[in-house]
Amino acid sequence: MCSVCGSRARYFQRYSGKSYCGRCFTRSIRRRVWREVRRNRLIRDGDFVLIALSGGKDSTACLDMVHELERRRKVELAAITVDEGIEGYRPAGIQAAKLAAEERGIELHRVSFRKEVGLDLDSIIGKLGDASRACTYCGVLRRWILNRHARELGADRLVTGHNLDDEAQSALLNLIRGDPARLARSGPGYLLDHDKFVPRVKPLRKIPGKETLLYCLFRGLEVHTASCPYSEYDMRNEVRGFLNRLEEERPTSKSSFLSTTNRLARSVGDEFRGVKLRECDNCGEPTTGKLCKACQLLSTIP
Amino acid sequence: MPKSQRSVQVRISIGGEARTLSIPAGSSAGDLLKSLGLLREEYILLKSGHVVYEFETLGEGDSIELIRAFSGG
Repeated sequence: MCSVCGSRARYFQRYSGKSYCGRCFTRSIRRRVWREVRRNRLIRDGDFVLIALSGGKDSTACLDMVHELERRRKVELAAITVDEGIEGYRPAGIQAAKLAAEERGIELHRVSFRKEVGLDLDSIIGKLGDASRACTYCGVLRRWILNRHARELGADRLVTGHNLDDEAQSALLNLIRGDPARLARSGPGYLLDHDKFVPRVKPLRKIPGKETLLYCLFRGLEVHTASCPYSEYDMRNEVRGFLNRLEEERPTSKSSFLSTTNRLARSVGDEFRGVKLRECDNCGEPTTGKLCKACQLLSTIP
Repeated sequence: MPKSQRSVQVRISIGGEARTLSIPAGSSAGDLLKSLGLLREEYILLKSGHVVYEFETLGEGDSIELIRAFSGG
């Protein structure tokens, strides 16, 4: 039975010991997301919010919740979707993103790797001859494109659908790679500030990935659930498996780990607080060095 | 007790591939995942399009779709 209303339970939340029906579950997720938004001032009244919408479960669930703020006339909302150019995978996601935006009457901006950097991801990987680097190129170029478009559109906040799993995986990867600067930037707050940098916020950062899919299922939202063909090469896959096995045996592991690393990030943050962002010598985007990461990566493509 | 009363046949589908499986009578959705060596943390079970509660007992002829919550990408 649902721990809240007593009706038939559909989901047992192992880390809280509570059972939920679909209605009470989606309500509880929304409440937690609003709390995260309010506590950390992720979105402020009057903001123009641009949401990165892939058509997958996380960004679609995020759009569904942030749209509520627009309906209450607290924010102005638009969406942006990036076509990385991954044959057999991306078109279905773009279709789902289009549908999600249309259903809510939200303007959807479409941008592509091909138009922005002259090559799609499949071609980049073909030229590099190394699929294991796909996620690095994809992630860096996507963030670079999103920041520029968010700024050009005049957005105050760029919202992404990163969930608890994404955040815990990133934190562990930063520890494994020995990257304290990136760890310091991983919390809900921001150490870096620049006129050309649009703050990225993650309202779902405390919601497990399984629960964002459950939210979509209970809400009847159509989402793209296929796997990216390049994801199998990513080290994140191994980290994801490790954290999931840990959580299976010891529920709350992921949230405890993330909360601890966020505290560590705050302590380590002082060391990096003085770092100034400057404009990339090549493209003018904000960066800590002479060349931004996107320009560095693009220069390595034969 | 006859063998037919000690087990039930369920049809499962994972990633578009379907097969029939014999599981002990009284098995729950969570038991099914365990018997397949899958993590409850990673999968959601659907029956007729509805999410199946982890402790729900599966019956003879149930058709269960397993969706992986972590598709990557």
